Amino acid sequence: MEKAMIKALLEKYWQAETTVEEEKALSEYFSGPGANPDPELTQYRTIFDYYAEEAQVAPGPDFEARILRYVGITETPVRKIHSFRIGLTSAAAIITAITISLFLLKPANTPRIVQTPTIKETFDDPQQALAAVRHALLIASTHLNEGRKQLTDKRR
Amino acid sequence: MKKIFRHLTFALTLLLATTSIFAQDDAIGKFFGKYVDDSRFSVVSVGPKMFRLLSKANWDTIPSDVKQTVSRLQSLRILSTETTPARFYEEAMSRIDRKEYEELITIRDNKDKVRFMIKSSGNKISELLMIAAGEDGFTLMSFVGDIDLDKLSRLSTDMGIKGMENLKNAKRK
Repeated sequence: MEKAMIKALLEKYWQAETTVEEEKALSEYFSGPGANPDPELTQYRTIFDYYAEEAQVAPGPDFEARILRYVGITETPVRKIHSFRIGLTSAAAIITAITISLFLLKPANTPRIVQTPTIKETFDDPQQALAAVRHALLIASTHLNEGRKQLTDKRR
Repeated sequence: MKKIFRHLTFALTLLLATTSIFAQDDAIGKFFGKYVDDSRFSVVSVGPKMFRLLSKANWDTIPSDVKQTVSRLQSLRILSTETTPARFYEEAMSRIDRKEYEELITIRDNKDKVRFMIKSSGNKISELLMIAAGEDGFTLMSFVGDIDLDKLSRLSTDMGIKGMENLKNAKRK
């Protein structure tokens, strides 16, 4: 190839205006098989040699493993994170179910704390029931006062 | 994972705690159950349903403090007998779970014994139990609800001497 043409191409190359074809021609001229650049231009040869060399570099078969090791992850934990998520979801579901059932069960069961199903209601008439409750309250109240009186008497 | 287990344990504890409340079979309930059909005993039972129906009763002659106390009650159970009062008193006392019921006051007057036990949740008294035994009989009384002891003791003092006399007469019925 003519020295003048290469020089022009190089000039274009420094300006980053070369096309892909022109760049290929340049690298062909400097580092292609049987390249014999003009002595005036040999100084540029190293640049194109370097590019050609670097283009040959490819990742080795253990590339991925090395990267993962470098980042600090091995392949097994990736699966673990996955199962952890499933566990979390199911746990959340269980908790939600329990909570909901608690709220649903509560109103139905609360009266049981008070009620004793074996004992029948004594009165059908609220008026009679009220009289009995009042009577019972008065008995309890009287005894309670008796007790309090005894306590205060003892203190004196 | 730890977090999940913590949540699960918490939820399960909650579940167990609530079911144990539901499954509660209190000693006094059993005591009632045992003697409710016994002819030696007279039984009075006013359940939560009847307490709700009480609003339909005529309250005109009822003092307001009684009304307040009654409106906070949920159930009343009375069991009384004239036979072997001392024996039933002992039986009732032995059946009370001391973890549940706290002794409030015990009155001894000659041969009469009256004991008040309370079951409380937080600051509130949820049940008042009165166990009384004397020469004329044995009485077990259980009030369940929101019980205010001060109000309760005021009920009889407000009634005055006349009320007390009525009460004594009524007791002999």
